[in-house]
Amino acid sequence: MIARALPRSMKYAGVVAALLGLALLPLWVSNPYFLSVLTLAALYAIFASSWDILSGYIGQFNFGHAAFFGAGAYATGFLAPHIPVALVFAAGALAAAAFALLMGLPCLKLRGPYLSLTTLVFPLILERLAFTFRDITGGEYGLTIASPLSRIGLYYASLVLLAATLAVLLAVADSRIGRTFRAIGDDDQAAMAAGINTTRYKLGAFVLGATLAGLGGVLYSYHLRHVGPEMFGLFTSFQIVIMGVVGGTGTILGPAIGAYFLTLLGESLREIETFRILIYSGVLILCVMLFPRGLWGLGAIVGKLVSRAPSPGAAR
Amino acid sequence: MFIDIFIFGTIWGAIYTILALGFTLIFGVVRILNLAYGAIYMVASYLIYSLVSSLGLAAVPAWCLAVIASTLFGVVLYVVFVYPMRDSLGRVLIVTAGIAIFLQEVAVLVYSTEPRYVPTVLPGGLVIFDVRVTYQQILTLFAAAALVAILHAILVRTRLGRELRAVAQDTEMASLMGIPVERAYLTAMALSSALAGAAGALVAPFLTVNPEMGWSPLLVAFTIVVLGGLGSLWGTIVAAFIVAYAENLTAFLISPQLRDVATFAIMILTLVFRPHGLFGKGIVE
Amino acid sequence: MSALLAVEDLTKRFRGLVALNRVSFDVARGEFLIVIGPNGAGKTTLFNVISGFAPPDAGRVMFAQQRISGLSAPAIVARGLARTFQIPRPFKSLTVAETVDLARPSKAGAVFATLHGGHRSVVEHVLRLVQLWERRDEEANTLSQGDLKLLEVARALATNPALLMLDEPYAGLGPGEMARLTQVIKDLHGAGLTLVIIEHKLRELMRLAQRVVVLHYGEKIGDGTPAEISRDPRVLDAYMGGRGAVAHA
Repeated sequence: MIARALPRSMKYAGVVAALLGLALLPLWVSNPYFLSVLTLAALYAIFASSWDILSGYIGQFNFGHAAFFGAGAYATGFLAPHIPVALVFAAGALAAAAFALLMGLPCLKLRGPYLSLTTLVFPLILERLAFTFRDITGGEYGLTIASPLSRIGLYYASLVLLAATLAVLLAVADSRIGRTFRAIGDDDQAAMAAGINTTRYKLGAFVLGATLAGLGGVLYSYHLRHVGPEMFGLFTSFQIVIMGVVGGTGTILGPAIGAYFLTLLGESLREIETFRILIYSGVLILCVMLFPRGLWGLGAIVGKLVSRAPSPGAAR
Repeated sequence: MFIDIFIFGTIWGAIYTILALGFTLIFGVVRILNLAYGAIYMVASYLIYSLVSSLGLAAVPAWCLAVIASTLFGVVLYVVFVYPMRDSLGRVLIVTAGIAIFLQEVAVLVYSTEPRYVPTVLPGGLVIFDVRVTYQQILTLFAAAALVAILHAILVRTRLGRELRAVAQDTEMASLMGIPVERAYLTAMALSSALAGAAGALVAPFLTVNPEMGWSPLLVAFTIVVLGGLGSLWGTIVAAFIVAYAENLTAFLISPQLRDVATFAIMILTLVFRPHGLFGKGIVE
Repeated sequence: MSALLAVEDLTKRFRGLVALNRVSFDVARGEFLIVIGPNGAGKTTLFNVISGFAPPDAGRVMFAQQRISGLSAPAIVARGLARTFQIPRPFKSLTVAETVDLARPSKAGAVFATLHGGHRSVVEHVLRLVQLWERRDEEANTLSQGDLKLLEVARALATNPALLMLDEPYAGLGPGEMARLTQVIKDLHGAGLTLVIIEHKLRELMRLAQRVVVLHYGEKIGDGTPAEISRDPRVLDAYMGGRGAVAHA
């Protein structure tokens, strides 16, 4: 509802402007560390917005999104030395989509919180498997990955993938399919009574989000030049949920904004690694208590207060 | 080997029964999923560690203090965080997840990620068919059985227990009958937290206490609910022992690292092949 | 005329309570059937089982000579059997028009062709029929209770059913809305749609119906024309105390 509070054209213009701004940023920022933080933020934005299509639109909170981008990352670790880059991306996307089908099977019989707890378990299984079958996975040391791209190349690749992800997700979200997702999120029994095959739509949202996250996972592993079991850790998945909720679920752009906000906030306080998680979870708790619609909802409210002048606020 | 599996499976089965009963209590009565459930267990373990190792308190008072603290913690959790958003399952889920992570990080800051060891209450042990079992483990088994019996007595014999069961059956009807539903919720939350705390305090001496230890009991409890269904004591007990034996079988026969995977596999396979659980009272509608 | 819907020995239990006990009846194509019975008689359960929202414990449901019990709810809608809910369940983040637009039309019904010329879109047909066309761009959750009930009917109609089941469509409606709904029901019946309606308050509807099925504690205790039902001693007995519904039918 809030997403449609501002006209679509304005929303799209805002996205294009923001992406252009991010594309021009390296002209002023040459610090490689900051560039790497921005790359990370773009990647998290891909994960958070691809998470939103199932979790925000259909309202089925996926607590195991790391399984998808982790699958993309491990696919890269296994295959990057042997096949061309383009095929690595295809493999990453396929691996993630396959996991989405695997996860969808038991999960789609469940609703709401039960689904969340079940999705949580999948990356944990992968984590244990990665630890156990060390001949293939390198155990706790993981696999080293040679990046085919320079730092700046990686930044632009992430930005392009983010742009493509947002374009695909917004196109879906603003279409009849997106409205069907919302309807299922509002009341899935009523949706079934209207003849909507809710299982198929949920599975579709699972696979769509997973595929995009899998592509992001390939870039993520290139960025880290490494993939290890920590990719499937509990907090890796939770982090995405936190970004989504803090940004504002069910808006695609909100979670992307949340990803940038928290990544930059986290990096600016990076003195001690553990404070980052403490701050993330603290922000999450405050956000759920005080602004359940997240930064996006806050922006919409501010935008309304600032008057109807079609300007900043919400479109950031 | 199989005797190991049997003995340790039995001890863990008893602990899992307590954990699962505490979990179903909130689940059944308040109808929320409390993801901070495992964090209460973790906090209780650390409390025991601090009280016994640092302050030198005797085991029994330390144990009582840990359980009381857990209960209070559960009440505060409910009043401050859950109550304002109880109508939205999604928000409760997220906020309790946030609290679980937050507490875990607080534990990291206070105690570091270094595992801690709690000295046992009853030193020594005995050897049963070549398997060494500590007295502490035997004590845990009996304490767990006693806790299950006490909880059962509370639920069946007391007025409070009857109210809880009435609310679990049908909230609207219970409220029409004049049962204070809000009080039942709070009681369920307190009892449930007490059980999580008791379990955490009981197992602390034979586990390594670490900040991440709360997640496994949460997922185990959920698996038992999936398998054994809601609102059936026997269903819960049977499911708890199945999970405990399966874990120990996996740990002894395949790899200790895959212990949790056994639980997760049970959860997923049940959802795929027997979505209504073993006894047909599952959580799938 | 062959039966469009055949309910055969349908049984449903909840926690030991028998909500439906071997209930059987047929509905002929084009027929208008009313299901009555006191609260707790199993009427809504009957709808839930027929429409695939709850699996039966025994018995089966045939629709257009094919077994539909065991199919998923959307699959049953796709065969041409739609239902509404007693308490409206709107999609609160969609508008009126979007709600109706989302319904997946089945190939079974022929209501639209009969009712209208075919120039209009399905959404417009249906919304004009329930007189919600003027409010098509409003958010569904801003509608009044009565309009929400009509939106329920519209959403079900948009699936283009051959048989429509309405669960207490009149509950919570004001007099004006009742008249609107009765007109809609008359139109639909006139256009050849098969109707099964749970309703026990409205005498006017009883006059429109061709047949009445009476449920009591999960059992069918009466089945016949409204006139027959109003004379049936078992039915009158069951309704002692709350007899208003049937006595004047």
